[in-house]
Amino acid sequence: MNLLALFWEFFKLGIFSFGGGQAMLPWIYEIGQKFCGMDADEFTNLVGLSQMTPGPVGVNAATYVGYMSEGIIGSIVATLGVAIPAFILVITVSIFLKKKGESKFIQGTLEGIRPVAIGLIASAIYVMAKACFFDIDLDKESVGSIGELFSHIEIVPIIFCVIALFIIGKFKLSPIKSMGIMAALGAVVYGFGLV
Amino acid sequence: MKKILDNPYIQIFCSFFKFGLFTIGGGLVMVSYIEQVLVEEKKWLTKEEFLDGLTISQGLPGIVAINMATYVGYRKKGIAGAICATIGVIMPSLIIMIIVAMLMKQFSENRFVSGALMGVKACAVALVTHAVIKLGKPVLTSVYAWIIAIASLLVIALTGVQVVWVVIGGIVISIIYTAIRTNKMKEVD
Repeated sequence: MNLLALFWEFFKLGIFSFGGGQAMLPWIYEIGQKFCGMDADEFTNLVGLSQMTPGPVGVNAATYVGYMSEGIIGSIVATLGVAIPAFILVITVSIFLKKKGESKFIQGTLEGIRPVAIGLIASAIYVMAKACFFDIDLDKESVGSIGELFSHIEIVPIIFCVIALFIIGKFKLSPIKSMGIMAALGAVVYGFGLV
Repeated sequence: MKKILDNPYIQIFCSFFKFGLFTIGGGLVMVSYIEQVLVEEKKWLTKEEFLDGLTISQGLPGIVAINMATYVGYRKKGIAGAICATIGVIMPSLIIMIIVAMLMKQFSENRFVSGALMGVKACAVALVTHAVIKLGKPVLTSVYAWIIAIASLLVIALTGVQVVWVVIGGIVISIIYTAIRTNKMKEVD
């Protein structure tokens, strides 16, 4: 039963993901690869769309992968899968909160896990950059030399990315505004065949 | 109609539906708005309770917004309240993302759509890069942190090890490291 397997995968994700929706991304990519043959390109789509649509990034990504795997039922199953562990954990903890108070040990352990989350988010960037900036699928084809690697670089996405970094970093535009601008830019540039 | 809207469970559902709808780009952006609504307007929580909830939501695994919804819903109206709040907060995502995914399947061939997606993808790389720098600054403050972060990145990117094992490995290492550090501090005392 694929739906059960899908639910279980997202349930595990819900239990083990520390560090917010973005740290979930590499894991969601794995699930996507397994259940709907997602490739790096589609993953990058997913990340972009999850950021620009309303709702927490993690929920959006789960819904998307769930839909691509098993349709509407899949998206409901996936989203519930991610939500239910939180449900159990939060209720359990808030019952015990007043008694336990603050434990230095637990604090320290949680602090120690945060670098892992940073590494996970960085790995998502690695996957997305590979998909976005090169015109071949680097996971499927191998390159003979650095020179050959460079010959496959696609300049336009890189320029877009630099523009986006500028908009986000310097002008501090919100995710949805920056996405909107970049989407419009992309539609114009590629739609009218300017490159 | 008014009777329906006055029902506390419906109220909880609606409030969290709104939170879900307005959360774009990350749950933490909404914190001050959520505090304003829950503590000042609706008076469902005191400021301390809200901060407790925030700490729990961030400390526990999973999605902060969902954790918060469960916490507040539970405090207000027990398990039924928690269910209303959680369903409320995930509803906007479910509806909108299903529509978006459907559209993706339909229009992926269109030149303008795929062009727009190219822009979206490049922007996604930029956004996540920005996020990792912002989130990384307060975290990567020790050699330990840097080693763990780089190690996690390399293992995920370059080996086939599944993310779950990297997380579990990280938890184990963190427990050992914290235990060693706590012991060292006790020795100093």
